[in-house]
Amino acid sequence: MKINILPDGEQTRVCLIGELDTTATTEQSDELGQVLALADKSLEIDCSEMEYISSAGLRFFMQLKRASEAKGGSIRITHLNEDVTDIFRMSGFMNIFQIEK
Amino acid sequence: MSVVRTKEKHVNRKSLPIVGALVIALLMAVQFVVSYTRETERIKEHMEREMREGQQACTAHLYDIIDATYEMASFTLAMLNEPDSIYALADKVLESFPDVASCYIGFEPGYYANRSRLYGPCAYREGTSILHMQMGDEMDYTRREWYTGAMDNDTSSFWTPAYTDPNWHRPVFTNSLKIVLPSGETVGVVGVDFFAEWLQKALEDSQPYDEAACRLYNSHGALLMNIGQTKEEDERGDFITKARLSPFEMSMVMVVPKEIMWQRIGWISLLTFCVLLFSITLLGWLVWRYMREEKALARVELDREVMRKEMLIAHTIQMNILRHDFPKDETIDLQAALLPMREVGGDLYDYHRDGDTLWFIIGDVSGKGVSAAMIMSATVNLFRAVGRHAHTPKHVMEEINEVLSENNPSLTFVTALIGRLHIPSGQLLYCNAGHCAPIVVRSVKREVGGERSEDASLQVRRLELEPNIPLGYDGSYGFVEQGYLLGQGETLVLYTDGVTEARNAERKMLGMKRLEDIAQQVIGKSVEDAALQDRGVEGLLAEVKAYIGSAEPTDDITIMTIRKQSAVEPAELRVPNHEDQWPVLRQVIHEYGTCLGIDKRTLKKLEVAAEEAVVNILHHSGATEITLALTYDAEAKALHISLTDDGVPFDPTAHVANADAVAERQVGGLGISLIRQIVDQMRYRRVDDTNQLTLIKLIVDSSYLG
Repeated sequence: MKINILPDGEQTRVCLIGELDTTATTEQSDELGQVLALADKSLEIDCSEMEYISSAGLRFFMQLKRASEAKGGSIRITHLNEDVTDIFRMSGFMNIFQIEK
Repeated sequence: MSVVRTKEKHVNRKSLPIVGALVIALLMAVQFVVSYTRETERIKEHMEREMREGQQACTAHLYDIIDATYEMASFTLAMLNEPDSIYALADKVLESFPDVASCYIGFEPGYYANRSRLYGPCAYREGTSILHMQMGDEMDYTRREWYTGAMDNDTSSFWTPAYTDPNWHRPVFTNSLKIVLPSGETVGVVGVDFFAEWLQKALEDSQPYDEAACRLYNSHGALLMNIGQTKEEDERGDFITKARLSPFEMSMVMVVPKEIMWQRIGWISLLTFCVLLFSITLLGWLVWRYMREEKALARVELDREVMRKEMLIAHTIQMNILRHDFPKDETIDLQAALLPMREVGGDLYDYHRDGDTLWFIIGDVSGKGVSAAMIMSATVNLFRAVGRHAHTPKHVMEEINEVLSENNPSLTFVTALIGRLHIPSGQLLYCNAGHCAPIVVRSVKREVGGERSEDASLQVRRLELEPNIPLGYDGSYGFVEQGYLLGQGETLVLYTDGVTEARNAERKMLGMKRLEDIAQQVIGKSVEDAALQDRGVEGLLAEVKAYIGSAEPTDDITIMTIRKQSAVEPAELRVPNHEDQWPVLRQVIHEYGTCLGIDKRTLKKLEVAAEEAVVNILHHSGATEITLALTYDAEAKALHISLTDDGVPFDPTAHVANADAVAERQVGGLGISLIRQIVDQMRYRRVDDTNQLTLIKLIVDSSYLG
């Protein structure tokens, strides 16, 4: 999976590209750590090119949310595709996050 | 193949009237000759009969006359010495014979010396009295015919021709006789005049025909009397009969003018001619009619021959429209057969294979023969054209329907069923348009994951059909399509109503039930039992034909079978229990699911579910190996994902997941929750020293969208 971090004035846009599965969370933990480091910011997690998410990926999102709450940042999740939306819905994460089209 | 024959008539139409005329002429000639001969005979017979009668009639009377003459003669001889008494003798004769007009003797000149040289005493009738006269005083009677004629006649009396006596104004004729003494001396001539009316009447009575002439001649050939046409009018060819009245030295002649012949046979000829003409005309008309019919028949035969050839060509063309390169391999087996009732018909089928996708259509145009064949051809071609860019059966059906519904004043409709089959998975999307429900025949027994399914009632089923209208009526109709999953070993049997409505000799229809039985017998066989032959479409057709037997077929018959041959082979993979093995396992699952034709969305979720299970094993089992087994239960149409690990006993199903408590969810709980939501069944077994977790996902009909 690829992660692009794009500062955009007040907002920071994080693009997750590819599959956020157990392999990604294990092997790219450093890059994910960089995202976690921005938890104090106002973040937009752009999932337009995120194709796949499993519970491992959901766990990352949970970590990010806790960190953001702790550091006073905000998280918006945008452009979820159908498949990812299904997982979010099944897991109840639709209710937890601020999700925008 | 019969060859066109033409009959040639050698009878020339023009010669017929000539022949007819010749025939008439010949028959007329024959008839003429026959009647001529006959009539001649008849006329002659008639004449002779009349002649005889006339003879008889005359003879009697003539004898009387002769008697008078001879009596006078003998009287005279007796009284020669008293010449004056001759008057008295003559009176006596007149009194005795009323027909006598006068009676007299003409003595030889100078016979009586004391009388005049010419002494001819005569008694004659005047009114009612009898008067005397002496002829010699008034004439030279020796020059008279009666005198001279009698003088010539030695043996018999002489007749003189009748004349109209100026005194009496009546026809008389004279019979005169020479008086001769025994010594041979001639004394004179006796003469008796007779009224001839009776003779006239007798002759008239014996006239055979009004136009005939009857004549009496004396021995000199002089005409005594003539009734009818005069001698001057006689012509050659006239019928003449003669008879001699011998004792009297007379001859009777009858002349029948030949015009009589024409008159008599004229009628007959005319009649015969008319009859002949009529018969010939009738015959000619009949012959003409017959020839015309022959010609018409020949033309009809020719037309029929031409039509036969045309229909044969049409049949070939139509059969060539149909495809016969049926796809058959280890994954799919499609067969089809079409029997038109006439040379051409309205049933149709078509198919095309595009990689893993098989499109097919079966249909039936209303009506029979050439008109149905035309729409059949259009429908097949439309299916092919639209099929190039088709998405779904509904889409194809609607496009074809739009076109067929245009310009369809005769409201010819087409029932059809279009299907799109994903061969590897058996996912079938189909759209019905008023067609009859296909039958699905499945194998008898099937081993599935160690369990035998022996439910025989599931052997033959009818496919559910939406009641969409047939094609050709409403170009804007929105068709509803449906889905079905064709399992391994299942055969889809499509047919037209010519099959179910086929009648046998007892006029009983074949019917759906019997068709299902036939399909079960012919096709439904045990996959394991190789002894049972699947006779496919040929077998079905043979059974239908056997049912019809000797009865006349009433409709086209079409059968198409589509059999899903083999399943996706089970896949098994054993890997070390390590994080980096997940991508490998995922790849296998992905490929397997694609083979089964699971749509991408469902497949992705299955991958998530599998990942959760695998991650669980990775993190909590302490196992050294993971074995992934993928199987497809064709009967239940379910995908089984089995994960076996040799780690510590861990039953993920024992964990209850609660979607609301997601924040406090334990590690792994979220995963289990997802698994539960994604798959249909989760089973766990502890087998020997292994954990066996099986995720079962039902592959739902019509979930395949491509």
